[in-house]
Amino acid sequence: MAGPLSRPRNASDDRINELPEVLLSDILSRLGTAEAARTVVLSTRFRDAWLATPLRLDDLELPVPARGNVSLIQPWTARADVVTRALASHPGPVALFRLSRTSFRGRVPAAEAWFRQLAAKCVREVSLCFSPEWCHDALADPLLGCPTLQVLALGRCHLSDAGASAAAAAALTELTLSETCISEAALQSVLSGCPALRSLVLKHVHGLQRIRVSSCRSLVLLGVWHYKQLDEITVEDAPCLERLLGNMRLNAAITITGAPKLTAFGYAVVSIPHLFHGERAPQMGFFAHTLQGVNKGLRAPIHSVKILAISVKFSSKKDMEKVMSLLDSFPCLETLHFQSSDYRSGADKDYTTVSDYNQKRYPIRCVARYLKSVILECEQHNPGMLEFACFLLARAHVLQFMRIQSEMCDVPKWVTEQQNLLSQSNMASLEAEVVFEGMKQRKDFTTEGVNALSDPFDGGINILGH
Amino acid sequence: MATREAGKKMIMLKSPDGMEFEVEEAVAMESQTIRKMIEDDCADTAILIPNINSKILSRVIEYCNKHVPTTGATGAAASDTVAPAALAEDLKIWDAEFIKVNRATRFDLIQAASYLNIKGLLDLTSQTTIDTISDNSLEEIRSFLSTKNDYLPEEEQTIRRENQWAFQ
Repeated sequence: MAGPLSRPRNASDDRINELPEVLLSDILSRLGTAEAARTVVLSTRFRDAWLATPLRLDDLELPVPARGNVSLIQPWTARADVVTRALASHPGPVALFRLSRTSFRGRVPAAEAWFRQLAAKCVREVSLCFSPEWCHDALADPLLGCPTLQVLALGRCHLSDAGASAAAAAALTELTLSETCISEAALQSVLSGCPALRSLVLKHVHGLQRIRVSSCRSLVLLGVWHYKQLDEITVEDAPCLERLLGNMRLNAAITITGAPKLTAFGYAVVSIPHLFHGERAPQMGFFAHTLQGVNKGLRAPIHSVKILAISVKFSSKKDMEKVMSLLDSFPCLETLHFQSSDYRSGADKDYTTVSDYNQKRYPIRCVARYLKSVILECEQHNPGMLEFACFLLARAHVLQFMRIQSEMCDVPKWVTEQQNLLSQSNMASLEAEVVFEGMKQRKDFTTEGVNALSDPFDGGINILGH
Repeated sequence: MATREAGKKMIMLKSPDGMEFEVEEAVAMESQTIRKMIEDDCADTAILIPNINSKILSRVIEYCNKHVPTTGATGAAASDTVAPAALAEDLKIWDAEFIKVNRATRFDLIQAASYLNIKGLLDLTSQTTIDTISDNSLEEIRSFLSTKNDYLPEEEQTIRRENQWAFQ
């Protein structure tokens, strides 16, 4: 390597040409997609360096097509056409392919061609970050066969059974499917074709009545959001699984076996906000000891879970009974998060003391022995939630911390009233500290964001509403 | 190996123009290249740093001195009294001053940072070039980087056509 010392010092010397290829590449890879591509006209050296640098294609870094040059018939296709040209101009490999504002509308065949090219060009990350329906059911099979792919986030694309059975994404660690159409059998094939998967997020996936995740031996995070009837969520043989996040309605049967490291679970949605056509109300049969002949629910208590999040209507007598049974299924809980799903107004009006659960005959093991911290959240004044807070304070012997979060905390008079009410209950733990706090703006769910938290429910990330 | 005050290990770095710099081992190990040499026991007497003249090497050492994590007896006391955010802010201001150098020095620093594998310094020294390319027209970039257009006319036409999508 020729060093600075051995060259004559000359102000007009073409010093960037002294930079080794790898450094020029490094600089290009830090530039925006279009910025980097424009440097090719500077000199042949820049052209060669750009061609040799893995392509980062982010549509937020592409020029916005000027109005004058856009077809008046289908103006939305202009962005997709820029993506097509950008992808064609580079030989690969592709480090990143991220779209946030490019709809596939009117360009589905082109989008399917991108997926084929991306697989051929050894892509590492494909993230479709826009509204899922912008994918217009484009077939995304080729990506599943790409051995270099590490991160894949799809919207409403289609994954066929044949494509899934050919899945061979040996390097894939993060997979997110949002409204993607996939059959139960295809999901099973995808999972066996992705042996390195650490994070799997299934958000309103189409075509699934049952979500079965078995023998995912590297899986650490599983996310399940669903607004349609789901019969079953089954996790078997997931030795590394630590977190099961989402909005898991209890009208699905949830079975978890062979997940000894599962420590965080939630939200368990106890009160279903409204039922969709054909959806059944939650069965009490969720809980093993109230099975009543319905073969559904947690077959055995989950001892490994330390952090549980629950969404419930505190004003509903029936739902609070279900919460009591739910707590029995998690005997070693240390942290409990509650989010109220009571309607904004009416929590007060409809409220009649629902203290039936107060008469509970036997102590709840986790509350009495392990519960250290409780976070209760409700936008409005909620007497049912406060009653539940008193219930816990009277029974949690090792409780250290309780936080009550509400928009009402901005009203000092309200806080004083609540504190007075709480002080009337017998506190089982002498060390328990009760804190009142206002609501915070929530951040959108991301795998990265949630992975950075020691408690996924305590970092202002919107998990329930994702 | 040389040692000085409170058992701190010292390392001798030599530039090819014959200058010698005695630095704490922890400071020298900000460079992943030197760290590897030390760990592989190749650093008995003095380490010759090829390709980097004494002027540039002294600036690199200045950077490493500032950026070495404050651990150990004296370091712990310092980080107890100063908030981490304030420390980071202070470093940012220091970096901004540090990088006020002419173009030739900056490219020398980029190469030194790359050879010695000091990520922070590489990020810092590359950023000015990145900002220049981001914010200026092609002619301005050419003049800033002293890059000569060496295309044949038809070559330039071809590449311009292929990458037309990148221009507004």
